[in-house]
This record gives sequence, C-alpha cells and structure tokens, in this order.
Amino acid sequence: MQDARELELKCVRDYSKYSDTVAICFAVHNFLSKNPQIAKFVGIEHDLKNTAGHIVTPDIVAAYDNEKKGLLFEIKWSLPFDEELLKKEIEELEKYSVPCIAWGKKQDDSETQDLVLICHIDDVKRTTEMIKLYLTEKPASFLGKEGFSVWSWTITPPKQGGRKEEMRLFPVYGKTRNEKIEGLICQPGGILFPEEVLTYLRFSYTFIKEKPPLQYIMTVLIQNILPSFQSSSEKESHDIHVDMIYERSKSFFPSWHSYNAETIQVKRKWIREALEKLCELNLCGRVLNKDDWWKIPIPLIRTRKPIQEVLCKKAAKAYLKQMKTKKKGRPRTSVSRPKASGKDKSITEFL
Amino acid sequence: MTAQVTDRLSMNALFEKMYTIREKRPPLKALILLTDIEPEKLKELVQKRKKLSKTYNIRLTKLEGDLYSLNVKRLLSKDQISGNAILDASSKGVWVIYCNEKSRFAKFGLERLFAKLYPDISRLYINYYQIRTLLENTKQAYHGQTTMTNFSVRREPKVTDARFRSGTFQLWEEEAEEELRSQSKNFRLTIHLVNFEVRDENQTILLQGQISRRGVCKLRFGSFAMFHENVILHAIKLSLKWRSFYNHRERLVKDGEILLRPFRIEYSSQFDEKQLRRLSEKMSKNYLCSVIHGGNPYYAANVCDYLDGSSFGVTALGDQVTITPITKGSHQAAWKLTNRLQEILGDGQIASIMG
Repeated sequence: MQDARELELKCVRDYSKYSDTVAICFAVHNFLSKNPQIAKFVGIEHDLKNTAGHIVTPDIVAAYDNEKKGLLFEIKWSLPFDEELLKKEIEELEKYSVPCIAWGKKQDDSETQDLVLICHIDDVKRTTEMIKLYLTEKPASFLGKEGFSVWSWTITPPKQGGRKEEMRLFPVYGKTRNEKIEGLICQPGGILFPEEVLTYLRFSYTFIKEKPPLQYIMTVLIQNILPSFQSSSEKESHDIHVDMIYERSKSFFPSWHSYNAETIQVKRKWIREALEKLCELNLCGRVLNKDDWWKIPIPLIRTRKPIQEVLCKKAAKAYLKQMKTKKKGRPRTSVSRPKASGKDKSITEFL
Repeated sequence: MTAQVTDRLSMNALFEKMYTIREKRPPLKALILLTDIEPEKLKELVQKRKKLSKTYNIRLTKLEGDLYSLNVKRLLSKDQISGNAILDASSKGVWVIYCNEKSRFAKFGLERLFAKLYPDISRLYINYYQIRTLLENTKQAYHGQTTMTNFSVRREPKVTDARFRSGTFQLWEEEAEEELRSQSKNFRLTIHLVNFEVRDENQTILLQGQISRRGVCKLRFGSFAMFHENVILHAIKLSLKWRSFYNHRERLVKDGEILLRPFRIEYSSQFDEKQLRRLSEKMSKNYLCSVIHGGNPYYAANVCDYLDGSSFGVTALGDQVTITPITKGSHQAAWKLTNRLQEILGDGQIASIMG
C-alpha cells in the first residue's frame, strides 16, 4: 500500500498537470485566433454532428483551406496508466474519424478532418506505444493514417543561456494535412507560444472539457468561487445552494453559454462531488433537511501552505484511515462518495 | 492638543502655530486613507468586527462640515493607549487623519485601527517611483529645492555576490537620491520612508517632513497651510489616480467573451530561482495561495485575499510580475497585493497590460 506522502505528492502533481493543461488549451486557442491564415478558429467545446448522427465535442475546432477542411484538437490532462483503460481511451478517439457536418458558416461538411491529440509529456511514451500496438491489431484504423497526430508540450528555460521560461508545443507522432501548421510544429523547437500564455491568458478560464481531479475543483471553489460570497472580513458561515455556486463558477467553463441541460447537470455534479469531499474532510457541512444546501464557512481555510497541498494531505490521511478501518471490518462512517460512472476514469484513485 | 480644535479655522491655526516654531514635539502625522464610507459609520464599522470591538473604543464628534474630532482608546495586553485626532473627509473618497500625539498612539492606536478596518477602509501604498513623483511635485510647488536627507530602504542584491549584502539600509546624506539611483543598479530596493527638506535660495528651511510607504505624511517643521497644499493635497491626488488605476479590473464576461484587465510590475533585471522561492514562501503567509509553479524560474499562483475575498492570478516571469484580477478583484485588494509583491521583490514600475 502507498504511504500518505506518496499519495499526497501524486495528488498535488495531478493538480498542476490539470492546471497547465488548461493553459495549453488556451495557448492553442490564442495561437489559432491570432493566425487565421493557418486555420480559422471555430470554437472551444464546439458540438459537431457527424454523418452517423452522433454529436462529438472536441476541445478545439478549427477549419482551413477556405473552411473546406477541419482540424480538431483533443486535449488530455492525464491518460490512464492501466493498459486496458488506455486502449479504451485511444479507441474512443475513433469517433473523431467519422466525417462531421455543419462545420462553419461557409461549408456544411468538410472534405477531410484531422485530429491532433495533445497530451502531457508524462503520458506521451505510453500513448504512442499503445497507438502502435493498436495499429498492429487494427491496421486500417485512422490512427495510422495521415490526418492523425499526437503533440505534447513543455515549459522550460530556453537553451541559449536565457533565464525566462517558455511554453512550447512539439510533435510526437503522425502528422496533419495542414501544411502550414506542420511547417511550424516540425521546425526545431516546435511552436513557441507568446509570453501572455504563461502570464495572464492562463487565467482566462479554469476548466477544460475533461473532468478535473477533485482536488482541483476543491481548490478552485475555495480560491475563486466561495470567496465571492464573502460579505465580511471576519469568518462567517453561509448557507449556499449548489446552484448558486454553479452560477458563480459557470463563466470559468469556456463554452458555458452554449451548454445544454445535460452538460449543466454534469458540471453541477463536479461541484457537488467537490463539496461532498470538502464535507468529508470536515471543512464544510450540509444544511440539515435541505437537499443540496451546504453550510460553508468563508474563508473556508487559513493556511500558510498551498491549498492543494493541504487538501491532498488531508485526503491522503483520510483515505489511509478509511483503508485501515475497512481492513478491520468496521462499517464506513464517513459521508459516502458518489460512485463513478462507467465512463469516468480513475483520476486520482484515492480521491 | 487637537481637543482644542473646534473647526477647520482653529485646526489650521493650531497646526500653523505649532510647527512654525522650533520646539521638541511629536511631528504632525497625516494618515491618508481611501474609503467611500461616511465618517459617521466609523463606530458601526468597529462594532461589527468582534475582535476590534473588544479592544477599541472610539468616539467621533462632528466639528463642522466634513471635519470630525476622533478619540480612540485601545486596550493593549498590559495597558491602555488613548489619544485624539482630527478626521478630515473633505476630499471625496479620501479621509485624512491628523494626529500630533506621540508615535506610539499614532502607530498602535490609529494606524492599527484603520489597518484592521480593511477592506472598508484601505491604506495608500506608494513605492519609490511614486514617492519621487510626489517629491517632484512638492519641489515645484515650493519653487525651491527638495533635498532628501534620509532614506530607509530594504535592499536585496540582484545577483548572488558576496560584495552585496541584503537588509535594511539607511542613507544619511544630502542629495541621497543620486546615491539611491546608483544603489538600484546592483540591488532591488523597497523604500520604507523618505525624510525630506525644502529650502529656499538662501538655504532657509521651509519644510521638514517625511513620507512613508504606507501613506503617512509627517510635518516636523514648516507652515501647515503650505504642507497641506503642497504635500497632502498632492498625496490625495496621487491616491485617487492610483485608485482609479486599480479599480474595475475584475474578470468580466461580455457577450460570452472573457475580458481580463491585467497589469504588471516591471523590473530592470530578471528574477532568479532564489527570489521566486522566497516570493512563494512569503506570499503564503498573507494570502490563500495555490501555487502552480513555485519558481524555476517561473512563478505562477492563484492568490486570494482572506479579508476581502478578491482573487488574483500572479505570475513572475523574466523581469515582470503580472497580476490578473479574477473574481471580485477590488481596487483595495489589488493595491494591497501590488504593495506586498513589491515589499518582497522590490519596487518596480507599474503599468497596465492591454489585453
């Protein structure tokens, strides 16, 4: 069994991975918006209907060659370590190979559509190996054809003695059919993003389409959302409904204004799960006999350590304690967590 | 002494008389505060804060128009301090608290009281560059010569070098401004206060005063009317200018688009890993932080003001610190945060970023 420190470090690392993935998502958005000659930006989390009648929602959609060709970006903050789950995740990318219709203003359907999978550098090796393995089983898959590629990104100091860090995007596998973007990504050092991406653009939004780790949502709630209910400089307890929290947090989801009822429910569920976890960690409580009402002290926490570290430490301790109790055969006493649906992958297992 | 004041005329006459005669007495302290609250609500503000109401007892009496007499009693662990001051609210959005009591009362009675009333009442924070602007204005207004006599600064070497030591540093010499400029080549400087003198062509002292980083102007010697017109009113103008700079910067949604209004602090040299690690440690003491990158040498964090609930994205990259207000982002919190960052990293030039 892992020790508390190990769990805590993984939990904190996942927080940073998701946060940087949000930055990369908006770096790509900014890059496309400023370079329409490469591809015209269509939307973030833009719904596209494919010829099979299904709706697909890539993270970023762009069109090029007079909007005749499509370019889709799918951004993953983390990919499963488990081979079967990883394979399943890669198989799911197949949905983007079905031609989509209703692209943009000029064109209803596209001649071709390319997909770029952007993943964290920690996951790149496993992912490309799995793609190659997958292709030996299904050589006709679109993953082996032109129009599919995998990119990754880094934040590093430049090599020639400079001290300022840079964010760069580089290719790892395959290629798209957009010659202009290939020309840029394949140059030594890949695509260098402007400094604004690392300074203020990363604070434009807080979430991407993919579900964040629980510690990330908890931190955002504590840091950005719940303090907006603060009415006094002294700590006070507030009764807040989950819908009130969703209302204040919705603008942190990039395409919140075009969400349908189902998506809103999904996002509310993220918030509810985070509140339940905060409750489990004794940081807030439920209002008695009132569904979805929470008793929240604001400021919720005072600490000299980064919040995510404090939350991860508490969660790791609680998890180990729960495991110990389970072994002894005692019934669970803490607030029950909602079960993950089949689609949800284990992000930070112990959370 | 301020207990004798009954109206603005008597206040001016009292201070004019007191500070144009050379005598050993506490300087006149003018504490500049920013608030839109009516002075009459001051007692209510104190009573609302549980901790404050246990240790403070205040009495506010209207003298005339926007002029009030303020009596403050504070219970300290072993004893009690008390004293009088004058609250002048004649400039919209600004209170000036005049006090000629001893420094102990001014510091632990008055300053501490108003610090605890944040964010309803906030301080005026000025850096080296703003103090210089203020002194330039004073010099022009007096048609004389401003000679800085003493600086108190904290300095931090820009690069690790055994010859340069960090710590609080005092400059006791005339024309110390030049020395400070040369110091700034090798050090990051955070100014604490400046003592200054204004002399005429015959080297007769017209004014002896002090300006501190936290908006306290002191008159040691000179005409109060001139001090008010040439120092206090300029400081008020400066505070209103910077308040409008920090105001209305929170993240907004307009037609489904996110609008950010970030600003930055510019420095003349790049940050190194050590400085950014220190920034990370120090910030966590005053703000609720979630640090994404701790300084390698890129610092990125989300910080939240405990007392105000405003949150900001803060990054330090290269030679710039960028502050992006997120939720709430009040001008009080933005200004306080900018000051705190400069207290840690040194004073820099503040400018808007066109997003």
